[in-house]
Amino acid sequence: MELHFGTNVLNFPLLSFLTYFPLAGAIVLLFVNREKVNFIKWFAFIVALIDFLVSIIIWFKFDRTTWHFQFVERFTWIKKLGVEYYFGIDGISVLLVLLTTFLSAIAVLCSFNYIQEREKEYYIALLALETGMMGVFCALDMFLFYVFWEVMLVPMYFIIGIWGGPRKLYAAIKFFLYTLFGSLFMLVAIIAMYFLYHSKTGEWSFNYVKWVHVLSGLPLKYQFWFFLAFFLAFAIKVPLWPFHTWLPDAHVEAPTAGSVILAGVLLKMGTYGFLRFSLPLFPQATKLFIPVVAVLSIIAIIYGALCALAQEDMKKLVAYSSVSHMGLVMLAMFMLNPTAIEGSILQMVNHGLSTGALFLIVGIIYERRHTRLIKEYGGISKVMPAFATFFMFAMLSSIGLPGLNGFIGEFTCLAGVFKANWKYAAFAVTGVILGAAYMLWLYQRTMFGTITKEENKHLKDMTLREWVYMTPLVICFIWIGIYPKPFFKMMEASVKHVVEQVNPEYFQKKANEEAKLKKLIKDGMKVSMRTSSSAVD
Amino acid sequence: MSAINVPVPNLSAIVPEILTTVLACFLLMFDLFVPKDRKRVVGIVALIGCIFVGAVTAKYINEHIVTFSGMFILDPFSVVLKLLFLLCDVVVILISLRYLEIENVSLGEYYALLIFATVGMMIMASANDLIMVYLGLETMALSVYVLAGFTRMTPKAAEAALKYFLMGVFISGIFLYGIALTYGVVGSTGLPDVSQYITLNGFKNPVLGVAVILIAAGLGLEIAMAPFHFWAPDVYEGAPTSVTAFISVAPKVAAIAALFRIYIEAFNLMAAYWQSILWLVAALTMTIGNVTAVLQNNVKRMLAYSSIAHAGYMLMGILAYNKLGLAALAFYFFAYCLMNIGAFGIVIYLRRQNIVGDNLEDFKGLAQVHPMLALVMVVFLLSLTGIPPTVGFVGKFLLFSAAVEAGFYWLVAIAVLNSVISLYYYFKIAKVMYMENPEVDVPLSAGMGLKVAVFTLGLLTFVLGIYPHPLISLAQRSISSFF
Repeated sequence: MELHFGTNVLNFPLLSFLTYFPLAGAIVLLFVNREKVNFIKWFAFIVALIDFLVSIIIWFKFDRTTWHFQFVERFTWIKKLGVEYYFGIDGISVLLVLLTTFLSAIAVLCSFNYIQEREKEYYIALLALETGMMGVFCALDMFLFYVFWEVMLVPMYFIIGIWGGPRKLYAAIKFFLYTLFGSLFMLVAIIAMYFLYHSKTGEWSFNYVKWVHVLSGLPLKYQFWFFLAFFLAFAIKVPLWPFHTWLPDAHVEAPTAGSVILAGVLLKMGTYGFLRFSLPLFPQATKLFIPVVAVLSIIAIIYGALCALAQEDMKKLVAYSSVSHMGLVMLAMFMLNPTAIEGSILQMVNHGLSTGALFLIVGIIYERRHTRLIKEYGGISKVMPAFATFFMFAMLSSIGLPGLNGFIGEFTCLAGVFKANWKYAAFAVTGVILGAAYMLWLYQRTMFGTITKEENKHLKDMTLREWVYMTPLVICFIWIGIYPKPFFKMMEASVKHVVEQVNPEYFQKKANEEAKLKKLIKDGMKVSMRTSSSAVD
Repeated sequence: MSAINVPVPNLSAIVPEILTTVLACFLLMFDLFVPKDRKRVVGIVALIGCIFVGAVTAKYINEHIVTFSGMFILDPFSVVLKLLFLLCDVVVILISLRYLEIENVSLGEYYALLIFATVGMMIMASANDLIMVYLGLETMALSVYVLAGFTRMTPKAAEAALKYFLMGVFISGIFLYGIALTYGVVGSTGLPDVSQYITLNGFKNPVLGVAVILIAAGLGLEIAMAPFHFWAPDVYEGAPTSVTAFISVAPKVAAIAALFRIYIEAFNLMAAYWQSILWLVAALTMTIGNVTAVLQNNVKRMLAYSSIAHAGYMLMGILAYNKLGLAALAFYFFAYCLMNIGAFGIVIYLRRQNIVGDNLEDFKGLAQVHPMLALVMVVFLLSLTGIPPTVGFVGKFLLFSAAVEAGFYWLVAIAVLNSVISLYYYFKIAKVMYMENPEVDVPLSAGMGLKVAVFTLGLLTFVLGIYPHPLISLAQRSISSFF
């Protein structure tokens, strides 16, 4: 079989540009006087904005009919080890790339007031972080992927550790240690696979396409261990129950932008990793692990939701809701049918948008009152009507109200899960119900009722800057909610290809069922024809 | 009466050693003519001398000469090591120039001793005979003992030197015992002879087994591998920081290289035997090093324990006993030299009047006082932890690869867990630098040499992490004479 390494229609290294442009901006900032705070802020924002605007090219130039990699850049990087510099995106990563550039620009904008000290380092770290995240989604060489995967931890560590809340030091190192722990086992697995690939082909390579071609046929006893090592790295990142304990700490302590990026993009790296690497590389082991992952995901869905119900801190509540939502993403992904996986990818994007929005909302109110405790609020909708409206959109999107993005994602996920196993779906639905409960309750307690605290009586409503970054998010909610077709269209071909790789029986079964149905209809037609003709008689 | 037939040695093989010795002797004499307050000149001369010797040594990279009746070997591996030692010298001299003045021990002998130690290490790198290893080891060790106590007026330095000396002498006795046992069985101390003996007679004599352990123990002191690591933290803390930087890298590398050559060349057929011992030693060394480092608040002590841990990682390269393992080892030597001396360089950078600069508190708020310095320190810390894009990551990647190829999965798992632990204490420094506010405002005053050294090392650590190709080529070239 001929291997497809993908194409680049642009004759321009677009992905590398998108990846390194923020880094270049960060390097320029390194030489700017730290006193010029305004210049630094706006410079960082413009860099992130340009990055986002350029990334829109992808939306128009992306070929939706093929699963091959696109916008590919490929050349030798470390010759002696066979490491390639191989960038490319397909239907699985394209939306995540766009989400990254979009949320990064918002993250920069939302920090203008929140960050009051050492702004220079902050924006440098934020831009460097964007480079790391883009690299993770674009890299198709395992070595390169691993490099970005780890590099990205460093700026995030500093963002939490320097500009975080009271327990920032604990949260930052916990985040770093947890993630490193998982990823080092992945590194060992990558090394072992590197040697296996060599022993099978005589070639040294980390190339993803080649690996899928050769290594996906490994015997189960190898796949089992490799899957486990990758599982550890990705499950910690997702985070799947019981590896989630770093998440609430990191979220609560991180500054708003840190939380937005963490929830919006970093968690997606875990699920993306499963979809990109674990599933196609270890199809047999994947199937073996379905029940395990499903049970852990369901626990995450319900446990996360119950924990969210019990929180007194708004940010912690949103953090636990992330655990719950990501559980659903994981569950749907492992059902291995196109509907579920498409839902799972869309839900990743949705979660990035709506949870990002919720963290922004919490950040906006925190900047005014410097507390996140729910009991400190109440009746806010009277003083901040615009804010309450945005909050409502974000909340409803997170719950999954029809007409907004969350509904489409959750519905597709659940439909896909139901197709595969109705029992899983039944449990997963509880999470959705509980989700509505904690979110609505949160909204009621903070926004409605009478104003109980004196300080809350004169809160300022949304400023222009806040309008600017919240509005695009709401537009996205409505767009995906009303017309999700273009989004599904982008991933269709790639998702189908993944299912073909992991679960080829699915299409076999589907074809059989369709044939049976056709036959049934045909027979029915005959019967009805006969009865109708006899009626005429 | 027949004359004793002395074979004429091929002197061209020892040109680097000769030149280095001449340099050291020259420095001693030159020192007499330099006034007391200008001893820095001696250092600069030493620096130029090292670069010159390095240029000459580099020409031998493709040679393969065995001479002195087979006792001395000049092969690419030894040449690469010699270059590494000279590189260490250059960097250490650069970071010492001003530091010695601050410590009030700016003496010309310092540089001469450094070069003498280098001669010893060069001999170790080229030794093809157990006695030769011993000669090199002692030449090096005697110079280093003196260096460790160079700030002799401070009790800590005196303690360090004495401790190092006593341990060293004791262990070198053990090493000699190992050599004697080998000689007793084989009738020769030449590495090829031992190998030949085992090939012919098999590995039946248990005395040989004891000898293998005793030899490892003898070199294990310099490597600071468990259970011979106890001296390291005290000595590293007490010795002047520039000397600590030197002894945490160069002698360790020399000893590991010697151990490697002995095991591969002489006891190759006993691989399964020494692997089973070394496995345990490597696991212990890295675990003890990392776990103990967590508890340290003195950066020099912390780096001492971390260097014990790194010795454990490097032992994996010997253990793997394959081509990749050796290449990884050669690569890691360089990586380790860059990042470890770099980290110590920053400790020296913080040395001001009345502030030693080795306490964790001294790093407080460094990111605000001197952002570039803090950034470079982060690069070193990342590299020591093994996080990309740094040279330390590539080194660790290669070492892990070698161990995986050889099938040491459990050892790799232990090493991985150790790397996670190491992140915790390395980033304690990063935490203090970035997340706390500066307390004292005594300005940093680094000399030109130190600045150049630290920032060059930082840059190399980073660049070779992104583009490791040249270093990998060098490492590959160095192993061409093995396997």
